[in-house]
Amino acid sequence: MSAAMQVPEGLHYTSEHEWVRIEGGLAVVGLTHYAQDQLGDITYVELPEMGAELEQMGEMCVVESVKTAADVYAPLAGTVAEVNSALEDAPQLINQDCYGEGWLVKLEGFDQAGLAKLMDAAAYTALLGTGE
Amino acid sequence: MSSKTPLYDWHAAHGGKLVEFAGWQLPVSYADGVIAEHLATRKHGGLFDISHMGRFAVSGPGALPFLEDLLTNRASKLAPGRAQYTLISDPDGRPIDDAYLYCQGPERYLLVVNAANREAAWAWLSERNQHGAELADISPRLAMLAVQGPDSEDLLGGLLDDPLPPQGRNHGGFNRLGGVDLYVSRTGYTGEPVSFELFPPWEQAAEVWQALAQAGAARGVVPVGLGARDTLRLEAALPLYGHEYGRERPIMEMPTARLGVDLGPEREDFMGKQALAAQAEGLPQRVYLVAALSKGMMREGSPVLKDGEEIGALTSATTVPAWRFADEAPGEDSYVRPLGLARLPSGLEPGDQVEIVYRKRVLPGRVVKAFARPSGRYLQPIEFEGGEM
Repeated sequence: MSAAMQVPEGLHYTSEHEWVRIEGGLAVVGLTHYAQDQLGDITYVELPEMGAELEQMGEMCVVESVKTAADVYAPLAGTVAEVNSALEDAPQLINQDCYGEGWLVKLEGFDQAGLAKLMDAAAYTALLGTGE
Repeated sequence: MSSKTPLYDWHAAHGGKLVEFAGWQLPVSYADGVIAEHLATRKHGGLFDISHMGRFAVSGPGALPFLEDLLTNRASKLAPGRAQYTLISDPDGRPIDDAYLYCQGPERYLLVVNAANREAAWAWLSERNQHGAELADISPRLAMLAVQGPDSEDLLGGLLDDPLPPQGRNHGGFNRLGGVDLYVSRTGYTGEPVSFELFPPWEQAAEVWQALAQAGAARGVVPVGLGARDTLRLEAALPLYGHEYGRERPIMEMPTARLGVDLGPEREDFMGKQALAAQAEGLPQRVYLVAALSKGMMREGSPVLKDGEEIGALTSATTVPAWRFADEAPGEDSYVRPLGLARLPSGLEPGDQVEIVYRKRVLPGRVVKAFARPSGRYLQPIEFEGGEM
């Protein structure tokens, strides 16, 4: 584990290395710094359909890297309100800025109670084994 | 225990993500990643550490008859300062390796083979040296760097002591860079119309690389890892041993083999000639270029369908980045597209519709003549949505 692995405060994390940020009424979802680092260079993202109804930890989209394909799961139940279409032509944004420009999906009508099942930054950092 | 090129420390210190490849520790990419490195090479230029490849010196009076016997192209066509693509065939027209032959002077040749085949190619050639050619595996003494892309000529021209090799692909010559003696050739494995390979001594390769990296940085010429090396060669539809070529495959399945196999009337007998001539008459399968017509992903091994029936599989494939061109030059916008090479039944034509199966999706695709074309000093992507083939 590199000490430089970024785990910003204020986000919610899954054990499958997705993050969620609550912004207004939407849940913004992306891949963690650790996940993008493990995947290596990301070359393609298959985004979900707008309006798709997702279950918590159900399949949300697929991220392809030079090395492998990875399923990405919905951290919360909800409806796809927006997808980051910039990733269609610039999938490398996930490697370059996974908590910012490289976000994947925004969910609306998401299940607030589901947040309780997610980790905070400290718990996720512990999961990654940095042992702070 | 894997080997290290003379640039290993440089790669590690400059953000190279090092992986094991053919027994060598090499960067798959640097910090900006595969897509950025591919795009930088096409717009400005890229620097490649290819010291892992095998380099054999072949010299003396027996050199030419030896090469004429065991290589598929005609070495006698090469004047000093010229190079050619060639293959090492077995008697049945199946490849021991594909290779590049550089004529560096009278009775002085350099043969570059794939890293993974270095030992096999060396054993094959040295066991069949019936003309007393002087053979030496000089891979550990001679490094190999590539400088590829539209700005590479300006970059190198500013660093070399002597003039660049004459214009035109496959020209080369001895030169000096920062006090280091080296050989420079207008060759490469990226499809770039302007491209160079450099052969400095192993011990001085890091100095040469450092000079290139430093001067290159100001022009947007960046170091490039194995990941983009593969997307670049795929976009140029160049074959890769172990994918398009293999020990069990007829050499002539690959269309580019015809550039490396001379079956002309002036060509004396050589290893595999009869088999290759028979292959040239027709083979049940060959390698085709397949472009997807929608966004998506495909990979080596993905099945290819025609009219709903599986007819073959991709031998190499991935999502490849490309610039949108404006006024004959790369603009500011880029996109990604799935491209592949596939082993399919002979008789397909450019324009034929196919489908590619990947995971749960079926992508519409088309057999095409090329994925990109030289356009001045650039390699320009061909956009297939407009009906081009």
